[in-house]
Amino acid sequence: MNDKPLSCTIKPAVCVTADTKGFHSGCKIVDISFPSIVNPEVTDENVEIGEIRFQNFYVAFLTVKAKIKLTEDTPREGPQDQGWRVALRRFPLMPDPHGETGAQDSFCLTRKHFSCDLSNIVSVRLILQQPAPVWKEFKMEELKLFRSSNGVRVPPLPTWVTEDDKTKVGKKELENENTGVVAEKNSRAEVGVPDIDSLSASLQQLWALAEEASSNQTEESLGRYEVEGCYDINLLAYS
Amino acid sequence: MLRAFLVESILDSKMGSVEQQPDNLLVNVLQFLRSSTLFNDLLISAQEEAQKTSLRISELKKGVQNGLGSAGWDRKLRNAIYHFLQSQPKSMTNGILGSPEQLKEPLTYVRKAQLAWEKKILKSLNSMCTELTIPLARRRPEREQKDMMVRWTELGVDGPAFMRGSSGICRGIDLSQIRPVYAPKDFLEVVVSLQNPNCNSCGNVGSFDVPWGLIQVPMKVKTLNELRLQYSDMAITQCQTGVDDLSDIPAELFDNERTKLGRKVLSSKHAPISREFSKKGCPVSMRAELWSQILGVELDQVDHLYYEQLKAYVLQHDLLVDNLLYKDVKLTATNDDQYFVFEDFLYQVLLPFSRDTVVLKHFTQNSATPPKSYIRGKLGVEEFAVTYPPNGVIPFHGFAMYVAPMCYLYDDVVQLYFVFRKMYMHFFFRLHSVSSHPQGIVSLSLLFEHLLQAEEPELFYHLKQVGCQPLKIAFKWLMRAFSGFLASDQVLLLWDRVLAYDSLEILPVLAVAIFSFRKTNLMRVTTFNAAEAVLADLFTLQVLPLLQLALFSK
Repeated sequence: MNDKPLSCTIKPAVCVTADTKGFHSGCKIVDISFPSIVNPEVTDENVEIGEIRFQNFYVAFLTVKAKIKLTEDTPREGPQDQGWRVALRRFPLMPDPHGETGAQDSFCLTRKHFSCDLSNIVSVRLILQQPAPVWKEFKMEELKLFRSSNGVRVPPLPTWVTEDDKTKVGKKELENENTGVVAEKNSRAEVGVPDIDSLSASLQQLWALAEEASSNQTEESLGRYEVEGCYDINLLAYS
Repeated sequence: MLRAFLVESILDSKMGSVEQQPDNLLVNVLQFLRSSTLFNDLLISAQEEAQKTSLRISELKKGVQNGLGSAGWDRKLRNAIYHFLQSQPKSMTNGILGSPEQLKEPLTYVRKAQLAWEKKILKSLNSMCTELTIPLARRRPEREQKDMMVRWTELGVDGPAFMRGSSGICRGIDLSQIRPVYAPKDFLEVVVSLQNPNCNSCGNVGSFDVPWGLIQVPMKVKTLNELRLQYSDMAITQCQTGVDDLSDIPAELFDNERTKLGRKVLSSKHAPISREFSKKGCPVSMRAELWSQILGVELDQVDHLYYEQLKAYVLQHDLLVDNLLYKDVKLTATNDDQYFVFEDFLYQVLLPFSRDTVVLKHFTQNSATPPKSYIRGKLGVEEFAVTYPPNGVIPFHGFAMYVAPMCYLYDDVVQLYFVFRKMYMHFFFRLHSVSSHPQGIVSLSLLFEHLLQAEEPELFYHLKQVGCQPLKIAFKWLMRAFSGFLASDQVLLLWDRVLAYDSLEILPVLAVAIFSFRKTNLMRVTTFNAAEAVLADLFTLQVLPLLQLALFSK
């Protein structure tokens, strides 16, 4: 898994204005371009974005547009298609632009947020909007693009949770550890001495059970607050 | 079988309010269940079920499932999952992540304000230690421990640091020199001075940057209409415990039915049901049980042992915090004719509470951080760093009042202890830390100001003109959740609603209602002291009619 952010040039935000008299349009544009040199990490020169991470600073809505490399087989959207695709349209970062909620949250936008596939990308344009005049400034901090979505990996669910009840019928697996083991024991008692294979298989299950039990240690603390029985304190520390 | 319960319970209690990836949530729930003692118990009873002779092997799985179901495991698991989900922060929505620090409090300037406030508290504690030349914590000599153990149920007489021995030495610390570290008034100053550096100011009074009220943070709070929807079960058209069960109303009209339903609810032992029932108030005889169910406090032997352990910790070490708590009880509860009888009870809850490290867990959701210190002589050595006090909570003036009303509910001190701990870790900590959380004191104060401006603009303007910002009076009510300001039965009726709706927003609504109710007199005052005098005695007020008036009368 590639955990390094994509190398790219993030240009300073440009404020959209109608005239020069300090008019506050509430809209900023950030252009991101990718160096044309072959990226050593990317073998096929294919810039692909799977994840955008940033810390918000008073941006209310975010639109992400990406310019993709047009090739022969790319489906065009009209004759004047420049290759711009909208990946995200006015995604609300702050539920209420006038309020503080979400104003300084960290976000991680992944493929499931994007409306189109972000591959073969030439450049990306972020459009930041803040309609509320309350805030002096709005920007994005610590903006990083990643090739793959590996922000928060969720450990897969145990099969007995995801599996449907129907598919489970007939399987003599360890769905519910206890009943499974007991069932196996009983069936063996009927046929007599089990063969070595099934014995070792069930031993393996036993081992797996033991492993599992040890990995499911409780996080309950012992409630000790002193160090080696000592809790003599004079003053508090300013840290 | 687990699976069915899990998925159902999660859907039950979440109802789409959290858009967190369901997979992620399931994993968390499973992880929690597996590491809990409940899981072990479940396995054991499943095993017992499987070994029953009446069970046919071909129907093993079904038989075990049915057996577990009829043994009440269904309810137990549902409750466990419900309480687990309740304890999770609700902010984990779409694509939001962040450092633990950010999850505690996302806004930088709020975080800084809280840090500065904490530092101030630390300094004040330290200077108290230096002035009185007493340590923050010391080990009690054996004889003192024994002496305290004997006096455990009557600590109110001489105080925790007192030593009465055959040697005739009195080691009692002069309590007159111990002062509360801070009072609501000090904390109000902190809340009021909170300002967003990224806020534009164009100088228009009444707009977002120069508000009418004291709170200057542009946070989004609910409008009266939103609150009406939220508290729709409290509408005037619906009968309520606390209004319709008074002794002068015939019991056939409401009370009888209510009690019958209440018994049914209690016997189902399911937290969400108890919560739903409590939305219309808890009948006095059932309140203790209902609260325990809502909070998921079900005592077992381990809990009793745990309490005994905490008690032993209290005997072992003498903390300065004990004196603070002692002083606080003396200043508040002991002076209150409703609560003075519970004085000794309060010590038996508050002192063990200060030793309870489980309380530290709530700091993952609290913008505050527990104070740190080092064992004597090991300054700066990380292995000897400890939190002080062990639960990380420094009491303020009025802290004991969070416990006091509950003394009416539980005669078993252990039960009282665990209910209080849950209440504190779920609700009360929000009332004395600076945070942008919608249940935090800042939001509640802002909600109070907005509601009062919207509902009683004339009154708000008048009070502001005579230099009496309403929040200056109402803040102490909010910070103590009205405990000690209202009659104790009314406080309990109010807290019923806090628990039932899982929200502290009812507190500012009541504060507005009280201002509204005393409007005629308040409109005549011309000084702050006069206004304070009008609102000084609230003991005659009936909470529910007032709340209904404020929420539904217009």
